[in-house]
Amino acid sequence: MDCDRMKEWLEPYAAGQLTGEPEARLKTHLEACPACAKELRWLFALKASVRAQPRPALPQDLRDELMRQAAAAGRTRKALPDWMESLRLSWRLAAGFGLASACAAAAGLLFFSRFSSAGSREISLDEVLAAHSRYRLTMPAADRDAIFSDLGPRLAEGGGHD
Amino acid sequence: MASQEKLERFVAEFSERGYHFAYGLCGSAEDAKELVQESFVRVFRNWESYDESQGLESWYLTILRNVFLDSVKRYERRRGVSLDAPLSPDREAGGSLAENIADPREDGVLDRLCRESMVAEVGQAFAGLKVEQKAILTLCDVEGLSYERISRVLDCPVGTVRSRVSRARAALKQAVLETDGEVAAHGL
Repeated sequence: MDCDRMKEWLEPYAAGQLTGEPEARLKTHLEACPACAKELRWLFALKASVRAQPRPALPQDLRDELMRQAAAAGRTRKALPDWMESLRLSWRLAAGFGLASACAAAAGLLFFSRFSSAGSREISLDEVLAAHSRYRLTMPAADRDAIFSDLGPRLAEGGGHD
Repeated sequence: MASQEKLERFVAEFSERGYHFAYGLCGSAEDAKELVQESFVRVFRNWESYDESQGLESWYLTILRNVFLDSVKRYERRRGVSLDAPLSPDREAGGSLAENIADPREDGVLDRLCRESMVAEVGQAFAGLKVEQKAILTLCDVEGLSYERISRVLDCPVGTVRSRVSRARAALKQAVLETDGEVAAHGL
């Protein structure tokens, strides 16, 4: 007889957690094996003795203290009105929307500043100095008109820096 | 329902149970009180993160497990010993109840045990077990949890639960026999 295997099943059997074919096999085995039957008696007796141990009741002062803490924790949560609670719950959505809006605004600003500077009749001092430097650095090899080609038409239209 | 009502209902439902579990682990009313208080503080603090689909009981048992594990660490620090160290070679040996060497006193002890006249001796033997052995036997025998639920509480596979229960039972049996021997030797 396979006592080793059967003894592995004793504990789950005593706990009511052995089912199906293993349970049927163990029951059959127990009828024929006094040693395993005795081990099962030990198991049941030990379990019953552990269950029978006196356990003190929950102290009233501990129960009162836990109830007091529960009430305090509940009050803290109820301090916010319901509509604010709803807003608080959707803060992630709001934060995501805000971030997306900020990114869109920054992109728009960049786009606007780039194209508005190219099309503007206003010529900044920096632009004039940069063109001048390019001309000075490359002369006489460079063509003056080519260097100032970008500024020329705008100057001709009467734009200029104050 | 308001949060306050939910929390109060939770206290009403689980405080007694939590206290019994804690008392089984500590064997001391004062330590059990501390353990229960801490577990409920964590419940109140993390109430917002409770996922209702998880089930309140499973959630609470997970918290209890964490408090229990922390208490084991504190116990080790306080006593300066590791709870992993065996209490005695005899109690640690034996993979299962059945593997213990047959003791000639066994039959007499078993008869008295079956008559439930050894509750005090079993209590004494139980108190000498390792903390995790007391925990698993309390969850199994007193709380009546299935192996599946114990595995969630202790965060280990069901197979490990089965073998731990078996080893804890063997250790308890050995301790009961030793306690009975001491009682007989001292004529108590």
